[in-house]
Amino acid sequence: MPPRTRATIEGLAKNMQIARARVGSAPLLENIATLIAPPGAELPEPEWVSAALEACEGELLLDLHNLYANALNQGEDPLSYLRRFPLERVRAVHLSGGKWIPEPRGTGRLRLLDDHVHDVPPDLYQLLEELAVRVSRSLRVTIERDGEYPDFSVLLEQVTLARRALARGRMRSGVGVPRSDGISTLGGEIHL
Amino acid sequence: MSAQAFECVLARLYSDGAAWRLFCVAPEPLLEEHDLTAQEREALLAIDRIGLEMAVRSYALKREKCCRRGVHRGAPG
Repeated sequence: MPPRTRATIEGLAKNMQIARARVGSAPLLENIATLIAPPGAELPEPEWVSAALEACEGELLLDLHNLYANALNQGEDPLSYLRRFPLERVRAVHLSGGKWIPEPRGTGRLRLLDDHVHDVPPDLYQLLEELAVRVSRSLRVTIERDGEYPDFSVLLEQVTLARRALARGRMRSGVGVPRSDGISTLGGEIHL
Repeated sequence: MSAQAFECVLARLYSDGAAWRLFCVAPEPLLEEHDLTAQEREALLAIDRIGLEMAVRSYALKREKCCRRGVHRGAPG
């Protein structure tokens, strides 16, 4: 978890240049989840991510559960938080789940841990819908699950919910074409 | 070079259990080992200690899982 400063953006931009030169294309940058408010921050996360992507001329892999967890852990509204990110740079999306864990030392408070072993929470589909309203390009959406797998039908249901959220967003933005199953043909791809 | 020193302290706190425990009890000796500005020292002394403890435990668990699987997955997704 680097500090969110101008200096770390400079370092990131240099590293991206190296990666671009060696690989031949730029990797997508992903926003990460954190249980700690990084010390020494000069910028809040959305503005730091915006500045980092601009410096790198990069594109974003937007992990909606990471964004959701960070927003809630900081006491922010996830939808408002999402709108502050550079959504025009989003190329791909991750969905996953997590769990609330108690803070140590008996504070009585909880923080949301992104753990990839729980179902995608309903709020995330609302964030995905909002994203689809604001991003016109095709989105590649991946549902991440690293263990404690439920029945496959449960995972398929999450794919369906993601498709519907994407379709609702496309319809709201005026670019979607509804099919008989309610799924837009311009939503994007959903992967497990 | 100071920005690097600041990141170095953070990396130690996140990944070195002994350094983190020392910092919890008496942060000054650990900070003395690094070439930090007064502002950086202040930021580290004001660190979200509860969040730090939760992050340290979470990262340790992830490292342990990776070791068990024999893979390095890199940063969490």
